[in-house]
This record gives sequence, structure tokens and C-alpha cells, in this order.
Amino acid sequence: MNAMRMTNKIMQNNSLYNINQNKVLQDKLSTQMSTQKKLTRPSDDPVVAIRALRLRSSVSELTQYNDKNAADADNWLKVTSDGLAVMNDILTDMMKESNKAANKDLTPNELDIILTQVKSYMDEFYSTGNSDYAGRYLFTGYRTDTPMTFTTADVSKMTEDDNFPSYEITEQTKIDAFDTMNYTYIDKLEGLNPNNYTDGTHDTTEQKIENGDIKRLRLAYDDIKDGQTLKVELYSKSGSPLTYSDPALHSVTATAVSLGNDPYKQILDSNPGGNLVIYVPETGEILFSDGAFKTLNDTYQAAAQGTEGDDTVDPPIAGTPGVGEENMEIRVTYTKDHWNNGDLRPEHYFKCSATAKDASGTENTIDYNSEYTDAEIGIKRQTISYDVGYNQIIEVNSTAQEIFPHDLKRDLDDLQNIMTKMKDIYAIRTDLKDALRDMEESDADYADTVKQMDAANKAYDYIRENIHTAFEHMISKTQEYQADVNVAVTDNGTRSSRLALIKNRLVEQKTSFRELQDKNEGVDIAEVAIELKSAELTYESSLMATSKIMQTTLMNYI
Amino acid sequence: MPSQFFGLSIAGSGLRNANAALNTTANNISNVQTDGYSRQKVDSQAADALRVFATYGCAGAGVETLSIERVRDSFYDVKFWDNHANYGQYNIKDYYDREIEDYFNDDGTSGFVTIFNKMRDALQEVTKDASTTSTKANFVASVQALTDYFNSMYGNLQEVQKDINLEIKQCVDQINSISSQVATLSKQINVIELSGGIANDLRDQRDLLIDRLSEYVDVEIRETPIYDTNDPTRETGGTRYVVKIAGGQLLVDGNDYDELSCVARANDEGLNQTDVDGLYKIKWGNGNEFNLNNAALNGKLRGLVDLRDGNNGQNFNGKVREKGSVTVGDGADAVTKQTVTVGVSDDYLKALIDCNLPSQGEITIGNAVYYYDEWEPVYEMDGSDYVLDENGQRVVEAYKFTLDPEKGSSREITVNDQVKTQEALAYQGIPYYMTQMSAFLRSFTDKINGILTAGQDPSTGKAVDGAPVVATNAYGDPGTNLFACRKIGEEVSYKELETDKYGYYYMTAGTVSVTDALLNDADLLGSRSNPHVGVEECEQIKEVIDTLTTKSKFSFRNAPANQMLEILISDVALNKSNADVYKTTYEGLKNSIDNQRTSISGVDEDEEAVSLVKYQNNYTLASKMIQTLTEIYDQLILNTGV
Repeated sequence: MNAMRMTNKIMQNNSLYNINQNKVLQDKLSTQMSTQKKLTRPSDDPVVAIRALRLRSSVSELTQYNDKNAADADNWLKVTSDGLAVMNDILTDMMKESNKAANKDLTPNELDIILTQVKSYMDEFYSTGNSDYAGRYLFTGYRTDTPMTFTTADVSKMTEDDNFPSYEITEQTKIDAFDTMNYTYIDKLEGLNPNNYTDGTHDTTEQKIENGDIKRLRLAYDDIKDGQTLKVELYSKSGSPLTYSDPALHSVTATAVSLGNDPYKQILDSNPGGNLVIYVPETGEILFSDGAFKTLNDTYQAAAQGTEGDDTVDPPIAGTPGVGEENMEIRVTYTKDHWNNGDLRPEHYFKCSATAKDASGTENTIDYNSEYTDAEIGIKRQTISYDVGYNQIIEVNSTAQEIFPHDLKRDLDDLQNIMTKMKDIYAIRTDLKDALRDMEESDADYADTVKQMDAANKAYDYIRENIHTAFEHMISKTQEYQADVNVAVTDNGTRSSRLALIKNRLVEQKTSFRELQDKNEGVDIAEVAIELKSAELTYESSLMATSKIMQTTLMNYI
Repeated sequence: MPSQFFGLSIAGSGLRNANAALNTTANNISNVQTDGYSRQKVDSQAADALRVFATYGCAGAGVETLSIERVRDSFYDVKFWDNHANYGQYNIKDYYDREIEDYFNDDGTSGFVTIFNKMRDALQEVTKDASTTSTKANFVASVQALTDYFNSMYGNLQEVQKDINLEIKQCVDQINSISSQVATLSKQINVIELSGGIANDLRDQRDLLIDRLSEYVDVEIRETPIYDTNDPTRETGGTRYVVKIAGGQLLVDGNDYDELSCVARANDEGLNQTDVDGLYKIKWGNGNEFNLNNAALNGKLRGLVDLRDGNNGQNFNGKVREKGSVTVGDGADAVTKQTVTVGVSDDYLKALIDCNLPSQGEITIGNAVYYYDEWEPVYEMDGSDYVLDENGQRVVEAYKFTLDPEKGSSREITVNDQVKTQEALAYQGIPYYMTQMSAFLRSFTDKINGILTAGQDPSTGKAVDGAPVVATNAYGDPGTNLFACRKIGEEVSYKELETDKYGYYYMTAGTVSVTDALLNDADLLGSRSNPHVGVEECEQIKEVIDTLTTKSKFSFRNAPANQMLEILISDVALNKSNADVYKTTYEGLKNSIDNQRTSISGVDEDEEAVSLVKYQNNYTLASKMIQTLTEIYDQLILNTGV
């Protein structure tokens, strides 16, 4: 049927074209064989090429997640876990030690030894907070360049330059942060010694020894600036500050009464009806007389519950639903401008602003955590988190806020204060006992001294009881701290095991992506080998055919 | 009764005919491998019979050799030329697209995706250790690798554009060389054919030249007989051979031809911001512009123009909205220049990130060509406030051009005149890829800089009071821009980049770079969201990471940033594979048409061998006839009746 006139040249051209096509195919197949890849350039198959790019990106991303991020997260968690284990041990030791104090027969000196031991555990506990990982502090949130406490170096530098930073600290707390302290008033026994007990200035009677409970709000720090006016203010977190037409309701003012002026006695005198609020700069306590506390508590509860007011709450919250206990907040703002080694740095805990002189001597103020009082944000942990997968984030750090409370140190401060008092009264009692032993009933001072002795015995009993309670309290608090640490340990452990799971999954994902990559770009060697073989055959036969048609023409036979 | 010697004359004609045929065969055999040669054939017919007034009627008078003609069907020529132009176009596109593809390709070691992934990994390292300088320095270095990548892409594409431009010139030179040869050949052919006969070999040569021309540009051939002016019905034997190219533009007319020339565009005549200097315009000998932008243009020239100027159909165009004037300079030097405000309606013109206008260039207003010294975007037309588009960029309502009074048309411009700076070329050529890269970089660098300098007043470099987020560096100061832009060697200031009326216009693949200050000190990176939040915090870096992969935070052509290359590479791969497919198709067609043509015109060795034997036999027989007649004369003259 082919009516076409065929010339030799057409045959030559066609043969050459076909041979070339065969060579192109052979080249393609042999390239595939030697590169193990289907494609040499995107235009060979744009779809496969772009899929290859995506898969390559995914594999590289997974490599970053698995080989680097997850591994680094693991390290953080391990180091944190080590730190937490140490803390746990310390707290256990501390508890054992405190338990020893439960025996009421222990002498003040023996108790003092126990207390000293407990305090040294405490120092160890807080110094764990300064642990670092590769030069970065573990428990200080984003401030990995700042230790958790002021260090000896910090303090000596501050002393040398006479440049203690002045922190204005805002504590945000709730009504249940108020606790009750027991106070024993020892009247004129104060300062009694073997030389002056008879000179009349220290005469007292058993009846003059007073003991009572005082409502107080213990601040996070002692040794706060004297002379400032403190305000205890009520806030509703979800909205604007609570305001009443009588500002005394939402903002209670406390004035300074230093230890020398017997602040505790003032409160005891004011109780039960009085309305006194004072603070003790040396100990960092805000003391409320019962009346003052009742007003505050009533206001607080009314605002929280939205109950029909009480006329004292003006304007009454009546008819409004109440902001809810969870949204109530008490704020106290105060200044502390002296620091000791081991003091927890406020910026890890509170909204505060620190003012200090910079190198050139000008005053510089830095605001920390200003978002804490923002109704939208509130107090939040500074969590360091690593990306360990697509949309998978793992927190690696535990923060000081969670596991290093101020309360532990403050509890020990309390204990120490009571201990000091107890040792004082014990010494007085011993002195009086010694004096009485040498006295005759007929001695002029005998009756007074017996009265003093009775008073001292009564005071000692109160205080001995008090310190016993304090130690018991200490034990239960230590358990709480340990529980906090255990929560952190659990959190950390949970994260570790979650990370392990994620890592498994990452490895799986990586493998499956590699498989996909192979499927997408890789060649089936057997298939290509067969194709190559058949291409070779085709090529050879095309050469043979061409050589045949090119060799002869009719001329050969004429 | 015919002459006794009639037979001798008959045999003689046979002998001559066989001789001519043998010679023709010899010629055919000799030219078996000659390009463009058409086999030739002797045209013969039986000579007019002689009326011999004998009972047997007429006597055959031998053979008459009419002519030697080439065997050729011009139908296939036309088909071949059309097809060859297509082949030329796609072959060159295939070649250059392949080169562009090579530049864009990512082999897993040095391409965009690889570099981008490294940058993302470096960012991850920063999030894990934001307080150390080295992770940040490493990140900045990885960003520099990215800007280097774009810089080199820009350079490479410019090189390609330069090569293409040069090849356009070579193409024009070839067309000129062919057109002059065609004109000369036409003249020679007419000299021969006016005196009768056919100039077979010259015609073959001329057709071969057109074969070659048709690869460069589409051709249209018309050959018409020339009639005697005194006797309009008489054909003189000469012909008028007309060659038209590029959609009917006259190249050769008989003995005359028009020469094309390439004129390099001056610096102030550019078409695109990213073009290399000195791109050629093509002009006819008489100074008229050779129209490159007609749909009918084909061949290699079309391919080259598409590649060099192809803007994906997105040219600058609009309508004159306002006219005005502006006085530049003082006193005696003062010059008043005309300004034209051109309203635009296309989306790609309303967003400055897609802008590829050069700072000065050529502009066509109402079909007359003008040149502008400068332009600026107009965001507020008719007293209305500017509008923001979905990317937060100001919408450009119009462009205000300041025209060069010394150059270009002096025609009076009227409102509503149509305006364009260049034609819309649907192909995705170099300017397209350049614009895509610019558009990506402009929005991407703006976005990233925005995150790393959040809350900062660009004019003071200080944090704005009350900003919810203030990107802060390791020293507690507002962060530094990551990306800078180099305009003529110098870094463009942030203020200029951000608040200048041109926005990020200066940012192209060629000018993008990393801010010098950050290269010197990576701690200047605004990684934190707040000055007092602690050194380890890196919200801004996390925001950057999110931005890289989250479409809702940043999208380029509806895909997240990390897929930018995929988009471009799929463009280029698609163009390349299209070019490849067309090239292969037209190559196949070309071969097949050529074969069909050869099938008619080609010399076949077997056939010629047969002819050789055939005509040799003819010759031998004719000779034998003469010998026989000689013997008859011998018999008649010497032996008969003697």
C-alpha cells in the first residue's frame, strides 16, 4: 500500500533518526542505572520533581526534629530531673531532721542544733535552684543568664559599689495567704539578766504575760524598706480594680512599726475590736487586728460571691453576680532595697521594677513581668519549649515559681524568731532559777523574783508550745514542698516519656518518608536493567538493519 | 516517401536524447548527497510525425528533447517552511529553558529548597539556645546563603538574557545574509529563465536558502510571472519572487531586499527593572521599527523574543488620567517637564510588589513613543484615602511619569490615551522569573523584617510607646532588620525602605542582602518580644518559623514561603517540558515532511542505476541504428545498381 517513493537517502535519514532515538533511550536508562534516580531534571516529570523537593524538605525537617531538637530536649529534661532528684533528697533529709524536734523534752540548745541543721539543708535546697546546663540556669525561665538567687558575688559587688538595686515588688495573692501567728508577750522580762532582776525595772507578774493569735500577711521577703506606706489592695483580675466609695475597703493602708516598738503587742492590744493594720519592716509581715481582718475578708468574700451586701460594702455588690473566688486578687506593693546572699531574685516570681545605677552612675529602671497585672495575661510561667515534630512542642524547663517557694525560707525565719525568743526566755528562766536558789524567802526581792519566775515559766510554756507547733507546721509544710517537687518530677517525667514516644514516631516518620522518597525518585533496578538490555538489543538490531540497507545498491549487481 | 536519410536523423535524435538523459543521470548521481538538490528529469516527446504522402500515412520523426526539469512539489516546501519555523521556535526555547531550569533546579546540595531548609534548621537551633550569639550568627549566615542564592540567580538569569539578546543579533544577521543571497539568486534565475529554460540548480539553491531562513523566522513566499508590459498577456518567462517574514513584513521583492538592524536600547529606554542594559530593538533599513510583537511571528526569533521579553502577559498598561507639569532645577537651569498620571486597573499593577518598571524608560502613549525620567506610585487619587490590600500593602491607583522633554514624540497627549511601556507577551521569559523573585522577596523580606522590628517606629528606630510586642535584641534595644537592599552598592536605609513612597520596590533578587550590622553582630537580631523578658525567650524567632511554613501568615501565590521554589520550578519545568514536547513533535513533522519532499525530489541510487542501464541501452541502440543505416547506405550507394 505504501505508494511513497523510497529513496536511499530517506532510508538513511530514517535509520539515523531511529538509531539516535535508541541511543537517547539507552542514555536515559543508563543514567537512571548509575544515579539510581528516575529523574535527572525537573522537566522530565515536574510532578515527581516537586514531590521530591517536598519529601526532601520533610526529611530534612524530621532530621532536625529528631537528631537535634529531640536530643537537646532530652538533655534539658535529664539535667532538670537530676536537679529535682537532689531537691527531693534534701527535702527528705530536712523532714527527718524536723521530726527529731517533735520530742518535747528537747532542750532549746538541742532544738537549736536541729534548726541549724535544717537551715543548712535549706541553703542547699535553694542553691540547687542555681544549677545550670551548659552555662544556662535551669530554673529561671527565659532568664537563663540570671541565677535564681542573689549570689555571694552579686552581694559583695553591690556592697562594694554601694549600689543595691531597689526593687518595687508587687505580690499578687489571695485571702488564704493570710495565716495566724502565735505571739507571747513577755512584758518586762524582756532584757532581764542576773544583774538587773532586782532593780525593779523588770518586775512583772504571771498575769501580765499575754499570749494571742495574730492575723498576718507574710510577705515573700523580710528586711523590707522601713518608712514606706504599704497598701493591701483588692483587685478583680478579670476587670478593673474593685473600688468602693470608702477607699479603706478596697485599699487597706499599713504603716511601719519596727520591732523595737513592739508591733505584736499593739495588735494584741487592739484585738478583738480594734481596726489596726501595721507592718514590721524587719520581718516583712503585715499584721491585722481581728477587726481589720474581718472587714477585709468580708469585703473580699462579698466581691467574690456577689452576696447581698453587708452595708459596710459600699457600694454593695448586691445584685451583681460577683467576680468569683478564682478572679479575686490581693495586691501588695512594697520596696526592698537591701539584699543578702541567697535571696531569691524577685524577677523570677513577681511583677517588679528594679532601679539601680548603671556603669555611668545614672539610675536605670527595669520593669519585669509587667504583664502579670494585665487582666488578659496574668501570672504565667516562662516556658522554654522546643519543636519536636509537626505542631509538636515540648516544654523542657521547670521554673522557680513551681518548685522554689519563698515560704520555705520564711517558715524557717519564723522558726528562727521563735527559737531566739525561746532561748532568751530559757536563759532568763535559768537566771531566775539560779537567783532563787541563792535566795531566802525573807529576802526583800524574793516575792518579786518568784513572780518573775512564774511569769517566765508561763512565757516559756507558751513559747515552748509555740515552737513545737512551729516544727510540726514545718514538717507538714515540708511535705507540701516535697509534693510540689514531686509534681515537677512527674511533669518532667511525663514530658520525658512523651518525648520518647515522639522520638519513636519521628524515627518511624523519617523511615516512611525515606521510603516515599525512594518510591518517588528511586528506580526499580531490575526493571531498568531489563529495559536497558532490551534497549541494547534494539540498538544493535537497528545498527545491523542500517548497515544492510546502506551497503548495497543496484549498482553492485550491474 | 520520406528522404532516404530520414532514418539517420531519427536515430540522431535518439542518440541526442539518450545523451541528454545520460548526462542528467550523471548529474543526479553526482548530486546524490547535495543538500537541497532536486533530481532532474529529461522531458521528451515524440517529434512531430512527417507526412510522407505514402499509403502508410505518417512517418515518426524520432524524439524531441524538450527540457531538463527538476522534480519538485512546492506544496511540501510551504509545509516544510511553516513547520521549520515552529521547530526553530521550540528548539531554542527548549535550549534556554533547559539552562534556566538548570539554574533553578535543586539537586539537594545547593538549590533554594536546600538553602531554605538550612535556614529553617538554623532558626530551630536559635529557639533552643537563644541566649548565645553563635546560634544567631549561624542563622544570619544561613540567611546570607539565601540572599547569595537570589543574587546569583539574578546574575545567572541576566547572563542568560544577555546571551539571548546576542543570539537575536546573530539571528538578524543571518536573516540579512539570506535575504541578500535570495535577491541575488532571483536576479540570476530571471536572467536564465528570460532566455528560456529553467534554472534548476539556482532554484534549488534559493529554496535551500528559504529552508534555512524559515528556521529563523516564519516566511511567506509568492512567485508571480512577469508579463510583458507591451503585451500584458505574454509571459516573459521571468518571475517576481517575494519573501515576507514575521507575519507578512516584506523582506525580499524580486531583486530588492530590505536590511534589518539591531539597535541597543539606551539606559533610559529600558523595559524592565531587572533587564540587562543594551537589549536590542530591531529596525528596518528605513528606520521603521520591525514589529516583534505580532502573533504571527514565529521561528527562532519568536522563541528568543519570548524568552528575552516574556512577561506572562503582564505588561504595564493603563489610561492617562491627568496631565501636569513639574519644574526641575533653579534659575537658568530650570526645566519644565510634562507629567502624566496613568490610572491602572490590573491587579499586578495595583500592588507595587509585582512592579518591574525600570526607574526610567520607554513609554507608549496613544501610539506615540515617549521616554520618562522618573515615575512614582500614586496611592491616593481624586482626594480619596489610600486603601490596603489583603497583604497590608497600599493599593497603587496610578503611576505618575515625568517625561523627558528632549526625547521622544512631541505629540499632544490627551486624557484617556492608552498607555503601555511594552507589549503583553504571554510567554514566561526572563522578566517573568525576575518579577516572580522580586515579588516573593519584597513581600517576604517585608514580613520577616516586620517581625524582627515589631513595635519599632521606622523613622526613629525607637520602640513605639505602648506597642504590645517590641522585638528586642540581646542588648535590650529594638531589633535590627534582617534583610537589607543594596541600591547601587549602598544599603538602603530601613526608613527609606519602609516609609519611602516606593516601599520595597528597590528589593529585587539582585539587590537583596543581609543587613551589614547583623553580619557584624548577630546579637542585634530582634529575637525577643519584650526588652525585660529574659534572654532565652525567642517569640519573634518562633513567629518567623511559623511564618516560613504557615500559609495564613505569609503566602506567595497561595503557598507558604517554603514552597516558593516549587512554584517557580514547576513553571520552568512546565515551560521546558512543553518546549521539549513541541520541539520533538515539530522535529518529527519536519523529518516526515522532509522525507515526503525527498520522496519526490530525492535522487535514488537504484533508480539512477536503472536509468543508467536504460539510457545506455538507448544510446547503444541508437548508435546501432546509425551503424545499420550506414551499412544500408553502403549497400545502396556502392552496391546497388552499380
